[in-house]
Amino acid sequence: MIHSVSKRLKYYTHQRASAHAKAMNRNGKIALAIVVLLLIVGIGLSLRKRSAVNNAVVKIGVIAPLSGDAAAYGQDAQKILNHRLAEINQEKGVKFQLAWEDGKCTGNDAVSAFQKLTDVDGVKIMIAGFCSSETLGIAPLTKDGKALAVSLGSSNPTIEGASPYVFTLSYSDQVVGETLAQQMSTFSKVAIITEQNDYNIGIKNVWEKKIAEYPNVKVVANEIFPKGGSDFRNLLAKIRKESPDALLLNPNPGVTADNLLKQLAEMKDWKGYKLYTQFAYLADATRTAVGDFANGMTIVDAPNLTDPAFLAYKADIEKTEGAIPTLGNYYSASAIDDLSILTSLIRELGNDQKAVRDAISQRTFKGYLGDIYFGGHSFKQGSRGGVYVVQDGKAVYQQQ
Amino acid sequence: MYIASVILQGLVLGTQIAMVALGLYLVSAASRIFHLAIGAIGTASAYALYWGISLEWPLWAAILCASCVALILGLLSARMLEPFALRQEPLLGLLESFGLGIILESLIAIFFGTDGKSLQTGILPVIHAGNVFLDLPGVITIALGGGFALLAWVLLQFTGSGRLLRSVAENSALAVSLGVHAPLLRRSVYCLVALIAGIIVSLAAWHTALTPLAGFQLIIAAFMASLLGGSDVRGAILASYLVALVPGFIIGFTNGLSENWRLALVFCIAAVVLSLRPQGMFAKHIREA
Repeated sequence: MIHSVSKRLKYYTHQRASAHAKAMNRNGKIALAIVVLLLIVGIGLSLRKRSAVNNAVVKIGVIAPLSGDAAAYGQDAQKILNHRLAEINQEKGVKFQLAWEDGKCTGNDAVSAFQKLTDVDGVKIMIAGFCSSETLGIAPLTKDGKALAVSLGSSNPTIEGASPYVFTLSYSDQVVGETLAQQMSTFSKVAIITEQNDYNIGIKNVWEKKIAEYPNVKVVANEIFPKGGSDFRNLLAKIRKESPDALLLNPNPGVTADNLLKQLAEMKDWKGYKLYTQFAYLADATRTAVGDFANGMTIVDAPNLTDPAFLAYKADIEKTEGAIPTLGNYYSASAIDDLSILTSLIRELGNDQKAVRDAISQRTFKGYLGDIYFGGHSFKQGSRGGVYVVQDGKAVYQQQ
Repeated sequence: MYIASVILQGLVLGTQIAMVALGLYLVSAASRIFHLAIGAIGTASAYALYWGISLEWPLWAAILCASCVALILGLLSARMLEPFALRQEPLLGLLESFGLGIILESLIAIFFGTDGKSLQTGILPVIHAGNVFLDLPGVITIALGGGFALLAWVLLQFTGSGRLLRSVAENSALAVSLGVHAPLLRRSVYCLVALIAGIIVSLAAWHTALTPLAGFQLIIAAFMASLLGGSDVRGAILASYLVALVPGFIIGFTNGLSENWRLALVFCIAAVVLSLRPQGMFAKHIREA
């Protein structure tokens, strides 16, 4: 009996010891696994830090129209940004790379480009978009702080407040639309022809509101044509029927604008009206096809940039990268300033879209555009409208 | 005079659509397939013309190059669609043709970009008649289109070739058994139609601007005109002018309606006409057994 009890005790003792050993063994394994995991994470982090230090190249995304009707503007911006980037990368500190995507001047394409830049290329800060449609397209995607977008050329007034992570160095179309209305307020019958996209509809809306404040001015024709339209002869004939004293041409810059002006010039026997327009015809190259026809045309845009330092720098870019015939002085300067501001802030604050956003929102920067200050707004503050008149084929600046 | 201007511009657009619709009709008569790639083939030919002009070739050389591109693509499309014509599978043929059109337009966009091209820099030459005027490509389009349409109708209705074409369309197997070389006839039709499309899209591009989708816009309108017109070539041509002129008049004489309404109006016309006459405007009513 005693032998049997002793045997059982031995058995139980052995069992417990074995279970204890097993538990110890399991705990040891878990501890070992944790240690190994920590080691791996530690090594990974240290390697990542080392890699970040060794390969300090930050990607900045760029969304601009590289194909389509407005491609000439994106290609000009490409020359300027590539030139400025090469200079910035010669300085000490973090190096930069531009990741280009084609926004095609449309919201849909800009959204695809944005998703590719953020999800595939890991871009956090970008120069985007150029066209208002591009910027308005991506604005909702930036609201959660996924990326920061600083446009060099988008001007539609609805960009204001569209997202806390969207800024634009352009003047607002509010300024352009109101200045155009003021300029045209001396006529009794006015007409407008507009391309259906965000930039042009923005100007039209502002212009309509402002022109309504002048009781002696009647809008006799207000025509809209589809984006990228190519045949305007019927619309022009319809406007002509109303005999306006002044006509506002409001197409998107590019081939559409060229065709509109050419088809208007074909109507040689239609006289007695004055032409007004916006940025689409500011570059002298956009009017060469119609020769003298455009003389006398009034163009409203930003004030002319006459800073000798900027003009010399632009000439230097054109010497090395080729001519910049379409972008105009204001947006050439905004492209340079956009890249300069973003790269200096990334070097100072890191590739951190939130910190860079806060800095852009509150600080004042010096650039070719002068003092650049947002003051909590989406648009650069302090912009005014500038008036140009075409004389002998050249857009001559009239007033500050 | 405004009304004359609206009519003239409508006639130019209507002729462009009618010529493409005529191509659709001829191919459909020969093979029972709606050859939607015609628009893209015309665009490719027009881009070849633009390429030649931009390389400063003599105009005849650029036109020859454009014609060769049209003929090669016409033969290629005939080769691709022949099996569907033989097996009488028009829907699969339509899909194949649509796919070919998409590929061609994509290739054009890749090689030439999507921005519009001008075949002529500067203001187009304009012909004035009193207060009414029309640019030279518009005048040529109307003249050439009217001639083509008349010629096609006469050929189809009153010549042996037209009768052969109609016999192949009616019953290809029977026509072959009677000694008609149906594949050769179809190839000829595809090439002829490709040439017509090349001429029309080039004229349309000269009139406005050349883009990769220039032919696509015409083929959509022409396809609709073909459906509206029914099985008769006169119906397709008349419907082409209808879808060009009626929206032009509505937009031209209605305050608040602008050019961006045009496509919506075209579809409205199609919906109204097809709901009243599902067989098309000119189709003969055939009693079913």
